[in-house]
Amino acid sequence: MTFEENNKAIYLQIADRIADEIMSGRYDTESRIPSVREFAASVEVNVNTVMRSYERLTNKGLIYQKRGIGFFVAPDAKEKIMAERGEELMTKQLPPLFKTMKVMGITPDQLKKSYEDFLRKYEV
Amino acid sequence: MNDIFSSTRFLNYVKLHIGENRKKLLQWVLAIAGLMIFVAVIYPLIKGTYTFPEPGEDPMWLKEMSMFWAFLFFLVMSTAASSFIAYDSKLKRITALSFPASTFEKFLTYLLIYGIGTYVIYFIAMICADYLRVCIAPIYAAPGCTIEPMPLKYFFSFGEGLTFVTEDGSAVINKNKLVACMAAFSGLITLQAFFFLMASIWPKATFRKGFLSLIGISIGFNTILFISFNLALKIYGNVWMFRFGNMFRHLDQYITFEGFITSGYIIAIVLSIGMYVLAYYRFKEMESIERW
Amino acid sequence: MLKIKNCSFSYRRKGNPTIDDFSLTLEEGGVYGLLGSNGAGKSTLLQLITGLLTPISGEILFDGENTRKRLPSTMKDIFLVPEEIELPAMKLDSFIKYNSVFYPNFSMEDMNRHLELLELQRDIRLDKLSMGQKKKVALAFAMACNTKLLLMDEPTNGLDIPAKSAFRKFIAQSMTDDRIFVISTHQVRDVSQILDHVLIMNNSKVLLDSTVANIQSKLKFADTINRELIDNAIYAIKGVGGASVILPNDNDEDSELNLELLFDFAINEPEKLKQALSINNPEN
Repeated sequence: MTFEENNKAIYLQIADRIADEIMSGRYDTESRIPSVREFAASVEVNVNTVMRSYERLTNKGLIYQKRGIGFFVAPDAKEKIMAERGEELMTKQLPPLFKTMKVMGITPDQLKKSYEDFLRKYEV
Repeated sequence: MNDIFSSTRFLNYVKLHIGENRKKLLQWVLAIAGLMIFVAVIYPLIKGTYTFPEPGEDPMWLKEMSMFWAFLFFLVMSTAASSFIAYDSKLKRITALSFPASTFEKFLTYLLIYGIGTYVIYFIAMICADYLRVCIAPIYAAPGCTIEPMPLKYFFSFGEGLTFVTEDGSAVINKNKLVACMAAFSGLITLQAFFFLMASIWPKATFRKGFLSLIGISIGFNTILFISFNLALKIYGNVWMFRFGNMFRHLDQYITFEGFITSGYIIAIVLSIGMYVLAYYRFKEMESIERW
Repeated sequence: MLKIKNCSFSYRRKGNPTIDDFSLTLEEGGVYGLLGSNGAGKSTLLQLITGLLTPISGEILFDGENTRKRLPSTMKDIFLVPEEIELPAMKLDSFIKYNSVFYPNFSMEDMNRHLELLELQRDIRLDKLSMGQKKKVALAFAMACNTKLLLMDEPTNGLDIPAKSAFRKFIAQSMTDDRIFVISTHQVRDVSQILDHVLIMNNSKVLLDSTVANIQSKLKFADTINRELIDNAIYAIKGVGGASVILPNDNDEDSELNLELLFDFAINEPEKLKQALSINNPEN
C-alpha cells in the first residue's frame, strides 16, 4: 500500500540525499563524505539518525568506512545507485502510471513516441 | 575528590558568592561606614558631648560607648538575617542548591561573610571613624576638651566607670564592667546564632520574621512563667510565695555569683552551637520550593 | 546512567502526587525528549533528578550516587537549565571566570564557539539582557560545561529562529556516547529531529518510554485523504479534507515521527499505544 503523501523517515531521506550527491558528482568516487557528527550538525538531526543512514548506505555498498579516518564513496556507487533507482522506477513508480494510462486508453506506441520526442528535445 | 571540604573549592565559592552579591555587600559596607561616621562624628555634635571643656579623658570614651554597642547589636542581627540571601527566590535556589560545592563549604562561606565578616568590618569601620572624629571634632568642640583616638579597651566598658582601672600604677579590672560586657557579648553571639538559624529557615524577609519569632518566643516564655507562677500560687498559697521569695533573697546560699555568670556563658555557647547545627541541618533539607 | 527507582513526589502531603511511582533508566549516548502537558510535572521531574526536591518514596541515582545528597562529585556532572533564567549582576566574562572552575570539563573553546554562533559579546552585562538573551547565555554556558548529564527545561522558549537552529546544532555536535541530554518541552517541532528517545508523562504516570527507532519500526505516521486508511488507523486526528493518522508499520517502511500526533495518542489512549508498541517485531 502506497501513500499519497510520502513521509519517509529522516534517516531514509538523508540516505537518499547522499545518494543524490554521489550521482551528481558532488561526492566523488573514493572521496570522503562528511563525518556522522558533521553531517548531523549541519542538518540539525540526532547523530544516531545519521548513523542509521550511513549504516544503510554501507549495507548497500555505496559507501565504506576507513576506521579512524571516515566514510568514503565506494568505487561502483554510481552504478549501484543507477541500477537501484532504475529498478524502483520500473517496479514501483511505473505500474500506477500504466494503470492510469490503460484506463485512458493510451497505447504503447503513443508512449514510445512521446518518450522519443522528449529525448530529442533534451539532446538539443 | 573530597565531598565535604576542599580548600580550593571553598575559596572559589567564597569568591563566587562575593562576586555575585557584590552590590549588596558593598551597600552593607557603605551603610556601616556611614552609620559609624554618624555615631562617631555627628552624634557628639548633636548631643553636645564636647560643649563643655573637660580635662582628663576624652568624654567620648566613657559616656557614648553605649551607642556603639547598640549599633553593633543591630548590625549583627541584620547581617545574620541576610546570611541566606542566595536562597531567597525559587530561581536562585535552583542555581545555588545544585551548585557543585559541598553543603558544608556553602555553610562555612555564609558563616564567614555574614558572621565573622560583620565583626571585622565593624571594628575596622569603628577605628577609621574614630580617627576621623579626632580630625573633625576639634572644629565644633569647646576649647579645652580632650580629643584623642580611643584605645580599644574602652569599648568593653558599660555605663559610667572604666573596665580597666589603674590604681597606684597597678591595673585592676573593674569586675562588674567586664562581666556586664561579657554578658552582653554572649547575648550577642546567641542572638546572631538565632538570626542565622532564622535565615536558614526563611531566607526571604528574615529580619522581620526572625524578630517576630523572637517576640513570639519571649511572649511564650513569659506566658509560661506567668501561668506557672499563678498556678503555684493557687496550689500552694501564700506560703509558697513567701518561701520562694525567701529562697531568692538567700540565693547566694545556693549558687555563687561567679557560678551564675559562668552558667550563663555556658548556656549561651551551647545554645549558639546548637542553633548553628540546627541551621546546618535545615540547610541540608532545603529544597527549591518553600514548603512553609 | 540515570536510574529513577519507584520515585513518587507530591507538593503537598495530601492531594494527588505529581509523580507517582516512576521507574526510568536513562542511558548514556541518548537525547531524551520529555513531553507532557502544562503542569504534568516535567519541571518537577527535572528538579527531582537534580536533587532539588525530595521524593516521598523511591530514589534517583546518577552513576550509583543518590542525587538528593547533592555531593559535589555528583553535581559537577549535572547541569540544569531552568525555564526561567536569573543571572547575577556582572559581566559575562566575570560570570564565566567565577562559575567555570566548578565544572572540570568546562571548555573555553566551546564557550567561545557558542557565543560566536549566538552573536553574544563577552563584555555584556548579564542583568541588562532580555529574556531571550539570558536563555542564550545560560544554554551556551551549560553546553560549554560539558557535563555528563544536561537537563534543559523548555530550552527553545524565547529563542529566535536562528538561535533554535544553533541550539539543535549544539546538541548534534555535543552528543557523545557518554553523555545524557534531557529536553523537556512542548515545542515539539523545535526538537523532534534531534531526539532519539521519547518520554511522555501525564497524570503523574509515565505513558511512553521508547527510542525513536523503536516507534518508527512499529508505527507509521502519515497525512492522508484516503478514507480507507483513516478508518483503519490506530489513531487519527481529522482535519480539513483528510487526517493525520497512525498505522501499524507492517511493511517495514519507516516513516518520520509526528511527535504531536504521538503525544495526542499517548494522552488520549495510553493503553492502545502501549499495545501498539509491544507488538513483537521479528527484527527485534
